[in-house]
Amino acid sequence: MTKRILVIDDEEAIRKSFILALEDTAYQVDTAESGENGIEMAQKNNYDLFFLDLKMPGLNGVATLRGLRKIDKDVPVYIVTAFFKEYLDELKSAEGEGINFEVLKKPIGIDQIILVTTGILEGPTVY
Amino acid sequence: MKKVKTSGNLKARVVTIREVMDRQIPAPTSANISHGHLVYGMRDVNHIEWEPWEQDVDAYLRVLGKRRLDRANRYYNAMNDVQKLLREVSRRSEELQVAYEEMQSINEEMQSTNEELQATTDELERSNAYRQTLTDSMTDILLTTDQSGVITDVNKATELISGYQKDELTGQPLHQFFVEQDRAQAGIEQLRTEGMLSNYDLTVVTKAGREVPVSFNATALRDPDGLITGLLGSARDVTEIKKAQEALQVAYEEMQSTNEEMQSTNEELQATTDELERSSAYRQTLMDSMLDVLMTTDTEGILTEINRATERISGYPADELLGKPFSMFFTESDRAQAGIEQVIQEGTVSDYELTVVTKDGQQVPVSYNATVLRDPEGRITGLLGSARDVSEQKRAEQELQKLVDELKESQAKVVQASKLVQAGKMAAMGTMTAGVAHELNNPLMGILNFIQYCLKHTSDDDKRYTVLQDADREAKRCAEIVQNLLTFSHMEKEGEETYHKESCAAILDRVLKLLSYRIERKKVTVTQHTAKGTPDIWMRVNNIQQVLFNLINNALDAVKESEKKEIHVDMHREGKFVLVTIADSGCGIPPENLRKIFDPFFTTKPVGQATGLGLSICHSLIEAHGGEITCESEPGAETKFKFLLPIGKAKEEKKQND
Repeated sequence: MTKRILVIDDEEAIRKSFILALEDTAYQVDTAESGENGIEMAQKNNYDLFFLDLKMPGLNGVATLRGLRKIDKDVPVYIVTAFFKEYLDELKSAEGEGINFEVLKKPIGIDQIILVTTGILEGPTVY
Repeated sequence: MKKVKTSGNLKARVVTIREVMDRQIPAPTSANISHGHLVYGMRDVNHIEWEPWEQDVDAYLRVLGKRRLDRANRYYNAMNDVQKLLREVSRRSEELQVAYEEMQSINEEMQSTNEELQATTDELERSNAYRQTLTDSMTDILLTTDQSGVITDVNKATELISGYQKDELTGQPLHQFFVEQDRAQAGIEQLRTEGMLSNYDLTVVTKAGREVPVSFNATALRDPDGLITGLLGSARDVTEIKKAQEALQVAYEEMQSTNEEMQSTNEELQATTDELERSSAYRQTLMDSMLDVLMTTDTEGILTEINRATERISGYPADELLGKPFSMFFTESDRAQAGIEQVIQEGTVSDYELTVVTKDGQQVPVSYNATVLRDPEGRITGLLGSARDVSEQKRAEQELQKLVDELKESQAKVVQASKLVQAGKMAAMGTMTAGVAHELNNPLMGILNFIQYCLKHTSDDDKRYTVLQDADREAKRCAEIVQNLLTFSHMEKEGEETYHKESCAAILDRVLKLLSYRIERKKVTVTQHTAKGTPDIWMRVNNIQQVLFNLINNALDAVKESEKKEIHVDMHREGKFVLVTIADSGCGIPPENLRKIFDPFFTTKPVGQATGLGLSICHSLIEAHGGEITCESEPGAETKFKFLLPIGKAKEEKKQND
């Protein structure tokens, strides 16, 4: 069964970056342009991996993360961020509550996206 | 001073030289000078009751005055007798033996008279020497003439008052310098016959034609045979003391008539004594008219004489001051006593500052000048001090000091303000930079991925392939700049590493390894010295590594064009800090740039080669560590970047406590 990835980011450039980067892989990449939208999609579908932006209008990354965790506690969520201070404290308190997530530092290129994705979904790969 | 010394059968009267001067007590027949005192032999007058003192003086004067007159009369009579005898001898040789015998006795008498006269003259000279020290500060005229009244010597005051130079005065008849020439001549005559002249008023005509009233005191100078060899006169400008002068005029006239009558009566001697006392009062008036404190002490610092200003400033009446230690009237009595010792050792002190404690407890700052008093043998007999109330001066100084302090305070405020401005500037820059960097991050990630996507789908023999490679490299460089901006603005630090204990030397080694290619290629000599005992520091290792990297990278740029290509890194402990100095032999930084080098985006490098953030990042990172970074530069010679890092983990602990 094809593994599914959801990219939640208000920036089209970021969503497109993931789509283009993972175009030649066997994974199905879906995108959502807001946190609300992302949660809705997560409720309808089973995703194996989330890429989540931190700074978004409406439901921000941390709130979205909490929403996603209500649906599934264990699915890997990668927060893609440039470490914006405003959300870091919130993120830390979420971490304190036992909510799992990983952090990816923006900007990341194609090779890194592929590396991270396959690494998570297929286990470590030696290049 | 009012004690009677008893030595065998000889009773002696001790008086101060000052009293001799002021009261014009005749000089003693034989005198002892000791500590500014005269000891009078009382062999001839020991039948007189000497206490209390004032009565003693009167009685003493009465007897001694009469004795002197008697002696003088005897002397003149004897002279007449000698002349008569000589005539007799020439005519009557048979009476030679008788005359010779009479002459013998007369000679003996003359001898004793001469001795007395010599003693008197000596004493007068000693007295004058003492007078010299005192009167110098009071600017009195002092002059000598030969027996005919031709000037032989003058002091500085004479020149000042008369307006004539010394060489214009000496060799000239004294009387011609006065309005009352006849009277002056008469005075000289009087001196010659009577041997003494007191408070003789004359009016000096100065070189400029101004008339200055003066009061003369004079004595005849005699050779050992009792013959008059010259005259010694002292005079005082009495312009300023009209009242005293008038009193003196009256006194003089009284004394004149008294002197004439004095030949026979005690009554007249009494009148003279009165006059002498008035004269003493006059001198006291002069001394008291001085606004400055004037005082003498003995060598132990015990007050012996004071003027009215001393009473006025201290608030103590004379009888509470005299006989007391000088030092007890000051806040710093040790220092006052040290002053006295200094005068005795060095002969003089100037502008010696002390604080008088007045009788009512107030403190008055005074400035002392003092000199030693010596007897004719050169032995120190005491001290003469004058002091001035410097309260006003002190107040002015204090106000000045206050102004200086205020100025320093405002300077400090300016420095503080400029630091705040700098901090504010950095903070504003930080906020703006962070915002810009974050806004750029998303599109940048897009660009990076779009280029890489194209690159992936372009054959490497396609001519667009290398162009896309260029685009990829430039996009990555943009990402790097954005990363630097974020580092500078601190926005990233929360997500960064925690503090670890690490040695600066180890970090430096890593940085030098990273830069080894550049160092070797540019043929730069890099030396380093880490002082013994330089401790490890609690730090964010990557941050400090970046600081060292930036600074050494800059230093490499700086020495690029230099003949001498040297970089030296020194590390040592300074108290609770470690000081790291990176010195390069490069082009240096012009003073106008030195202030701006830590400003973000300030760069002197060509566009495209630097963002102007390197030093701003260093500044931010060092400050975040609770340290300090500074730069000194000598254009064309050397540049030194120094940063201090606290050794302890105060910063870390503080954070954990928050």
